[in-house]
Amino acid sequence: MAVEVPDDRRYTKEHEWARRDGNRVLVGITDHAQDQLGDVVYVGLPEQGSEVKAGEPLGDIESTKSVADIYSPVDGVVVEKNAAVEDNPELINSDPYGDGWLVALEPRGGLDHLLTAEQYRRLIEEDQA
Amino acid sequence: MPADGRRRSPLLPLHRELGARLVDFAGWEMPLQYPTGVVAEHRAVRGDVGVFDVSHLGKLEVTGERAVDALQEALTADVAALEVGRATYALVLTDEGGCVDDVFVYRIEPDRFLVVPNAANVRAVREAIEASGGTVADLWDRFAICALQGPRSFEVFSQVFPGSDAPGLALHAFTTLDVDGERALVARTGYTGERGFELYVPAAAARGVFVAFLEAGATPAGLGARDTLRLEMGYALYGHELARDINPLEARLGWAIAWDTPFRGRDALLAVRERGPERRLVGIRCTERGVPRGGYPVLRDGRRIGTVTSGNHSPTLNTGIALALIGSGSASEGDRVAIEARGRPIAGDIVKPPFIKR
Repeated sequence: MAVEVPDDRRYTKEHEWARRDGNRVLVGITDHAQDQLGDVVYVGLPEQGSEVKAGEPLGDIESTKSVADIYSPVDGVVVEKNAAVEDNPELINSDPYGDGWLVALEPRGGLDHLLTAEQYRRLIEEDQA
Repeated sequence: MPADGRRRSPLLPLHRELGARLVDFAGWEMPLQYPTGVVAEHRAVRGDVGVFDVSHLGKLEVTGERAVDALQEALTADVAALEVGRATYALVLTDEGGCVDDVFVYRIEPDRFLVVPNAANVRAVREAIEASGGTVADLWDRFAICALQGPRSFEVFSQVFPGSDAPGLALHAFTTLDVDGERALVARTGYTGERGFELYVPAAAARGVFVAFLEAGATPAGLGARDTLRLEMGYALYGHELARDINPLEARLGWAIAWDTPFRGRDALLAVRERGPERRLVGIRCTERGVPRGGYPVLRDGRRIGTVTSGNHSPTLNTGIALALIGSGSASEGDRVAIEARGRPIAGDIVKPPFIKR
């Protein structure tokens, strides 16, 4: 099953994505990540106003099989969390790049340090090899 | 056993064709889930019908005139009183009364039994039976074990085996079944809380049976769903609620013990019964979001009273549920407790399993 890696955003090695949305950055987990986790049954997200640091956990996500940390792709402040995914974590499985977004951040700095779609595709291909 | 040490179900190529995600389970490569996913597979079993490959379970044949006496000592059930054509649940204990494993034992002939331990404990159970003088043969690669479970299991079974008398069997009874000229065994047993069958099918005929169930409408279900299904019923799982350092009275399995029989561990367990178990197994139903997991501390009024043995999200209740061993007298049914999940408390209520009523 081929997983989707859209070109309109950047990625982390820990399988998060980050996409500019006006002056905010939306963050979620990738299609590959949700496929590996299986059915997501819980997501724990930071409150609005929380400071987050690139590479440090900003929340956690659980499937029927396992627990995983969600790492922040950038430094910044949480300006909104997606309350809909807290109530319906299965959105992360059904629409990881859309309705399954997790938090909106006010970033400090850009996204240039993150992987491009092409680099991320190569990373998950190596993972599967 | 293959050179790489891996044991393989005769159904493994079929699982691959079905797109299963495979997992190593006690040396067996078994389906964890199919592309449908754990939650959908769970719901199929609760509301319709699912079929599992559980060929990793042990298949120990115990035969001979010493068989009854050996099993009467090695197992906690009254094996001597078990009728031919009937199966029963039993425990295998240490001399100290701890749990070596739980098994199902099938009386096939007066002096021939099939004992089905957990995959990880085949050797330990075999040793326990041999230590009691039994003659044991390990039939691990002779047949596959398929579990057909769910409210529509009888309908699907009858469609595939229209002539079989199995749907008329009592719970825990079994009969034989002709599959392509080979003799299979079909039992009214399971581990999901739903009605259904477990079939012991000769390896060569296994694929045909599994495919026939799928074509008749059963959803293939993996070990992930098997675990959430058994947890909703509060069924014990070896390595979680059953272990050498947990005795069956703590694990609420006193019903599986025939006290009048000379089983191993009896003296130690009588002493426990006399003084009362120090811990007991309870259910916890979470009232806040979060997923309890084995090993998480259980707190009451900020004080640790025990540990989660198994926990997960219940697809039926759409909330976290857990089995936990807590100190005797530390909390009772209806009490509010907290499960400490990675530094964050999840509130829950002590309940008596099963979590769902069937």
